[in-house]
Amino acid sequence: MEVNPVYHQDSVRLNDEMLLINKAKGDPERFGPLYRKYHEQIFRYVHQRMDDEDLAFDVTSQVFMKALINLHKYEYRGVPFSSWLYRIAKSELYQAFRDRKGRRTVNVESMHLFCIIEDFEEDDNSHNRQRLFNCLSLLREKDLQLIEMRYFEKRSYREMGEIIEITENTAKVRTFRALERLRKLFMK
Amino acid sequence: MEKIKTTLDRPSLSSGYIRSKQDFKRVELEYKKLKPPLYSRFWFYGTVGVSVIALLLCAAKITNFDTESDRNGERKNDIAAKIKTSNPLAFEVKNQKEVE
Repeated sequence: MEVNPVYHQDSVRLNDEMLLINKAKGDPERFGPLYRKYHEQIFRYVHQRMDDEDLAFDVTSQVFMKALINLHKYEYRGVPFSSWLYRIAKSELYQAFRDRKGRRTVNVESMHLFCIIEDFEEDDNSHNRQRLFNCLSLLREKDLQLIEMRYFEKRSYREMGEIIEITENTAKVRTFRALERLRKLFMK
Repeated sequence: MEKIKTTLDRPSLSSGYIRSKQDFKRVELEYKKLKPPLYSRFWFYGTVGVSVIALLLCAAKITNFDTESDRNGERKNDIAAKIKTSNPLAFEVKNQKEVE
């Protein structure tokens, strides 16, 4: 399965980014380039998980505001800046759900369903797609999160681990188990 | 949490549209509003604490110095009085030498 190439950055890019981060630590106005670089990625992550577009933009702004407040705490220890932002986005999203500002939504494309059905070694037809689509909403939040990141957003296990703060291997195992649970629901 | 809602093939937003919604000024403004005040920064209490301790130490040192110098003066007078009572002649000779 193809994975999202945005995450894979070379050391030159990471060093350039560290320079930007260090400048922004000294002067918040210099956070602008990082904001412009990651705004779309973070917005898409948030919007993928909620229905309300305006609220998704609000939550995205909140993410960058929190990032700016906590920027002095950020140090590169193997976790890229983007993953650090996704962690903040995850926490802000759940805060919005707890405050009942938004509703947890899963936005699925037919192509994503096809990938999962292919993994299940079942026939790709409209009936199976509908069944799988219905099963997704029955999954536990934790399992759904993993399926979403792996199959809908095409993230690598390493990036998934960094976002949900587990190891790459644990992310792999948990995704496999989540997929198994989805399969069981699908086969019922 | 409410039941998860699923949507199929929702129209995707274009990058241009998302970019048009970028508003760094708003983020900056909210950051300035929410920036923790001076008294809640971790270094504030450290600096204040160290300064207070330094001031207290200085004050203690100064008062200690004053009492010690008073004590030294008293001790000198005591010694002079002892010498005077034990050997008045020697005391007078010493005083004469000092006058000369």
